[in-house]
Amino acid sequence: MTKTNTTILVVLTIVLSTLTIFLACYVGTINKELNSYKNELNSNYEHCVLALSDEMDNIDVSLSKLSVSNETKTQEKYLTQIVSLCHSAQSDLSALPIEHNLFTNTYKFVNQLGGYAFSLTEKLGGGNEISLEDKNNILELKKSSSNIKNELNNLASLVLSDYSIVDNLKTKNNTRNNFGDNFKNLCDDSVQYPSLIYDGPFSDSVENKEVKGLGGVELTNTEAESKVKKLFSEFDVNFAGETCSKDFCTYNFELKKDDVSGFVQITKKGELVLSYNRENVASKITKSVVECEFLAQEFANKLGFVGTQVVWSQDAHSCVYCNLCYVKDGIVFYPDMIKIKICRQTGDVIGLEAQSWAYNHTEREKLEPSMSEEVAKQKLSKNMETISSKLCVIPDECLGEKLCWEFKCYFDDAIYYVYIDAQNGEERKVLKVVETEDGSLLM
Amino acid sequence: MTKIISRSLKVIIAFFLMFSSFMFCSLQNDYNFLETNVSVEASLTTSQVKTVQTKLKNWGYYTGSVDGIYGTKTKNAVKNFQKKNGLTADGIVGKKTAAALGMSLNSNTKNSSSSSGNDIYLLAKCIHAEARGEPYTGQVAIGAVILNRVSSSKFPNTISGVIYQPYAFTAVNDGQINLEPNQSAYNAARDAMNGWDPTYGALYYYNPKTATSSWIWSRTVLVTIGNHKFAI
Repeated sequence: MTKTNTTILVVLTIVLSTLTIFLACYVGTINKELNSYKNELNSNYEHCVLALSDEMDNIDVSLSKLSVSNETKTQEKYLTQIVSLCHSAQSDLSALPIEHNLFTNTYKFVNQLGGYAFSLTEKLGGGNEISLEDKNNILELKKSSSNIKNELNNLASLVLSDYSIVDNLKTKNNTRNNFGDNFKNLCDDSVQYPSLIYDGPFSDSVENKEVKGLGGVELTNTEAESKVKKLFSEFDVNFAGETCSKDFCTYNFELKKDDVSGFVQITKKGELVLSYNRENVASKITKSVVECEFLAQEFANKLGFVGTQVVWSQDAHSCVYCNLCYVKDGIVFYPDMIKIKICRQTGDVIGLEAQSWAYNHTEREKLEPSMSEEVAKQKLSKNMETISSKLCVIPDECLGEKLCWEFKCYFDDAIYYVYIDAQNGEERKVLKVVETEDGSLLM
Repeated sequence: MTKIISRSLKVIIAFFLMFSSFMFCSLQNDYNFLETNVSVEASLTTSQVKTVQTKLKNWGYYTGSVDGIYGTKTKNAVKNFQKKNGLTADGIVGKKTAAALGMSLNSNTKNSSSSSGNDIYLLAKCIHAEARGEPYTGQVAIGAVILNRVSSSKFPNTISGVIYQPYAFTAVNDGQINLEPNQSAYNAARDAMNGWDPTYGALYYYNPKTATSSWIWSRTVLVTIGNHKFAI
């Protein structure tokens, strides 16, 4: 008996010892792999910090050169460099492991600096000069960029020393991010960044658009519900709260009929159906794109979007997205746009989106082009074949709305839309039709 | 003596089990931090769906029309095919099912804009990871928040930049971003890309039942949809 127990004990000890050794080897291998991942991640973060520091250095230098340059060609060169560097800098900023709320001002500065530099290159390209106000702005921007540059240089020195970013990140129980603390001087609300007003990307004027298309008396909740019930009479309508953003205040309603549900938002001011949406659950196609366009037009008229026409349709297979714009005197007003979504199985209109209409639609004055279609056509590239043309008004981020001749052209197995300014013949925009799995897109 | 040996045996076995459990648990936590939960399924393009439908129709599994829409009939036909061929009958065409069907999942980009398709796919993945189970309008709203951030000067300028910005979305941190999105998420992504925004400009959202950051609670709420408050 004793001998048997001893044998069992010895065998078990050998087995357990072997298993323990294997387990230890396995754990060792896993730890090695984990360390490898950690080092790779740390190197990636270090690269972002060093690249960002380098970019801010170069932005600072380019701004300095710009502030003393007196020649348009050289100014354009430095502005182009700043646009490119800002794009790279925001990309590196976005990869840093810091909570975004610590970064907002720095992000805004980099994006707006890039947008401002872009708008100045457009200005110089149009034959204008940098104004005194622009020069003062550049000096203010130089002060901010120097401040950021100095902080980032300090951070770059830190990461190049014996400092592990990964080891100083937020821990699993959400304690303080020590790495993020290094950005304290940049993230403080007391740090002043210049306010930039310009006509270009990310400018405060673009981000603070005026709403022109809503007017009249404000609706009450009851009036809004009554209107929604009238327009969507086939559904049960229930109040679902309000949305109140800087630009729009709406009453929200849920629609219900059997297993179909939807969501409608109607503006308090102007009683405009700003949004209507149902999920597309089509499982087969029975309606053509043309039929869907007809249904979209009918729905737009029913909801009070008078004077609109379908200008573009995107065939997303089980549904169609139609763009309708306001048309007056044969001129298409692209800023005054609504989008309607139609289910290709049932032909039901399952969506409407009218923010652009709300922002831009007003009673339009008669517009006359300064140049004829034939003269504008001469401005096109000679290797393109023109298919059709029309007059239109297009939105421009930098220059506001512009009356243009739109030419639909064919070149190198692709369709292009070229917009020639109908007042001065300048080429304003070129769009390409790109075929995707979700239909044709204009890019 | 027998008792001592028996007791020693029990102690050794107990110690070994505790040690093993501890090691596996801590490794699992660390590995989850770095390991990606990569789904092997690929997103099917419309032409790929048509290929699946054609093949299954030829082999008698599918009786519907070849229309490129992955509806219930197509999914059931795929399930039947998978059952007959010893595959996991989940109705999803992943790598193994595609191989059994004799087709490739590499998308044909001859005439398509791959970046646009990738954007919708990535947006759908994020919506699915963050908002599956939420009302459809809530899913569209989350897509809209991502696109609002792209347009804002205070955030990265691309969809991938916004989604993969560190600490921006918990679904990226915990790997749920790699789950295959469902059709509802795709539909919501398309609507958001086409301009639908029930929040009219929100840049943040949070679940009031789970949010602990005092900073997010200080944001101005624009609307509440489902379990999420959308704020700026």
